[in-house]
Amino acid sequence: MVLLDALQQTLIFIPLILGIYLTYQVLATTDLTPDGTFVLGAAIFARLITEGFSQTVSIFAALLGGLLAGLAVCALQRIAKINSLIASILAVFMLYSINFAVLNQPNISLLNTPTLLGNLQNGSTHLFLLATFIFAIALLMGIFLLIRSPLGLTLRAFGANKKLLGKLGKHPTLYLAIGLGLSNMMAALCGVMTAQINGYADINMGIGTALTGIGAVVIGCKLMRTLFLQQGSFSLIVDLLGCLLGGYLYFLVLNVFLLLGLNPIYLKLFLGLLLAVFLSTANYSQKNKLVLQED
Amino acid sequence: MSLIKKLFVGLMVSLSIFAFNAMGTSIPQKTVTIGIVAPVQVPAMSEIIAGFEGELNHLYDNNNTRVIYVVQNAQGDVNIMRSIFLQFKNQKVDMVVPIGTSANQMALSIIKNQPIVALAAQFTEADRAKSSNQNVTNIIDEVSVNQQLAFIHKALPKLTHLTLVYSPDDRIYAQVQQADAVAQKYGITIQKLQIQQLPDLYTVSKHIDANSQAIFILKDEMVVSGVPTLVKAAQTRHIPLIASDDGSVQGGAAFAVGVSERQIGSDGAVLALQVLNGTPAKNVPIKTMSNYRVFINSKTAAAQNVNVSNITSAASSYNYLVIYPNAA
Repeated sequence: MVLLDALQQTLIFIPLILGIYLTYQVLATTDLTPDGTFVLGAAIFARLITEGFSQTVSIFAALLGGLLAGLAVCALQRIAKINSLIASILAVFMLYSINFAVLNQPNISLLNTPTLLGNLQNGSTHLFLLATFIFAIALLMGIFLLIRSPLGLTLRAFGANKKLLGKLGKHPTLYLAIGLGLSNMMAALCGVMTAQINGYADINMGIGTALTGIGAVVIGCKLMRTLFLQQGSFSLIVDLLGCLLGGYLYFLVLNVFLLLGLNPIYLKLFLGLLLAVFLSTANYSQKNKLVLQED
Repeated sequence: MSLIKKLFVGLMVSLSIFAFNAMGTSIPQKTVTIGIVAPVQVPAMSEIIAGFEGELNHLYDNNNTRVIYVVQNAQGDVNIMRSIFLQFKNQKVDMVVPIGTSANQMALSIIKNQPIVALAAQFTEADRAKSSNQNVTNIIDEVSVNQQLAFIHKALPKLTHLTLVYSPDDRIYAQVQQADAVAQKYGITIQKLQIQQLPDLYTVSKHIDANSQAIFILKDEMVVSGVPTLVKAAQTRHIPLIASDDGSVQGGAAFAVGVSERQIGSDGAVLALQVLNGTPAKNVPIKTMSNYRVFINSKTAAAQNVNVSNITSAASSYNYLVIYPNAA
């Protein structure tokens, strides 16, 4: 059951992990905004559905909210000329107020509101798992097709060499906006799914989600590349499966730590150390020499 | 084999061993296992848990059943909390005890076949009637703002301007909304100061109105964590800091009217016993705590310009028990 629990949690988190893959690996920029857009998605969905709007409208509004937040971060980076990391921290800071205004209270309960995933969860566990698995595979395929498309290739080019992209007549800001918009839209989608299965949207539910996603992407991709690819080569399928593996490993470790009865006050310390070990070792070559990475 | 490959193989082997071992883990017979979930690590949670365990152990004195408490803390992380509930569900613990509103909401979403005895959650009989999962009972610890302000008015009849400091906590928010309307009844004007995070408390403490005659705080985890800052502000202005929990009085507030955290746990244990004795949780009435206490810190009360005898006489007129938490 521990293995299934970890899988279930990973499948719900997949939209956020894939969104972070888009910014962190494809655009090669660090964006912590999902901490805020995750809550924004949950908040918009919970507020609208409890106000009597349909699930479809509520979900689309949540996705739109995430998209707009991503565009706002892009504006902070490119128009206000703020460093990408600081811009995202600033965005999370401001989103706290926006999320509060959307919720209009710190917590909205969805226990008495029928939702798609909530109903599935109330039914058969296997059906719930199957539905979330199919959805996750569909998302993976969607991202695969996107990155293989001309638009996706341009997004990759943005991550590889922004200056060259400009010289080729493309507008880098446009592609950054698309990437950040999509990424935060997916974080909002993850927030919607989480609100549905947890039965509430809460102002504090996003703490640490971006770091969890980055950790999953880095661990998964580095592991899969090391295991299945030669140094320096790239395979999109390997990377996307790495996202799934990274998320799964994170939740498996979390569940095993809890099962082992690790004192909860040390849980985040151990998870953080584990992430640090993977992040660190991932930067060493086979000869154990540190590979300097371009910032 | 590269270092990263070795690490990966080692991790996977270890995790698999633990995971498969865990699958075989079974709970010993003739025991009752209760899974308690605290959303964060704060003294109030420890008090509630201690009250619950202490009272249930006492009630089980004449019973041969051995009670095992599995206490897990989610550290404020929604993913950790979900993992905890999933494990309690799979381990088939005999009862799940979530503390607080969001923990109760998540428990109701995940736990379907085990009874839930919630503590300190905003979940009324009406909520239960509407809920798809009714296998739950609860202790509502929300202190009535109406009764608190009535007591404050009785103890400090000349009070007309009160500063209320609060955080965006789910259960606090509704109380703050009520406070404005109720205060008018007693001719009190309320200055509301909200903090988003603990470091804001210092800044907010500098913006208390010059004509404010008292600072009031609710049972608000974030604000309570910063009580020393507000004690300092109160003592600088020679006005009382009025709290809603015993811990804040121990920390320097002049007095408080509210319920004891330990009592929340004890009352929850009484509900838990009924469930363990075979009453379905859905048939155990949800209890709202009403046995208020007045907690007084004689030392800081003097420094904050409060006459303790006014407080004790107000307490006796309402039949509230007076407790001096700082007394040796």
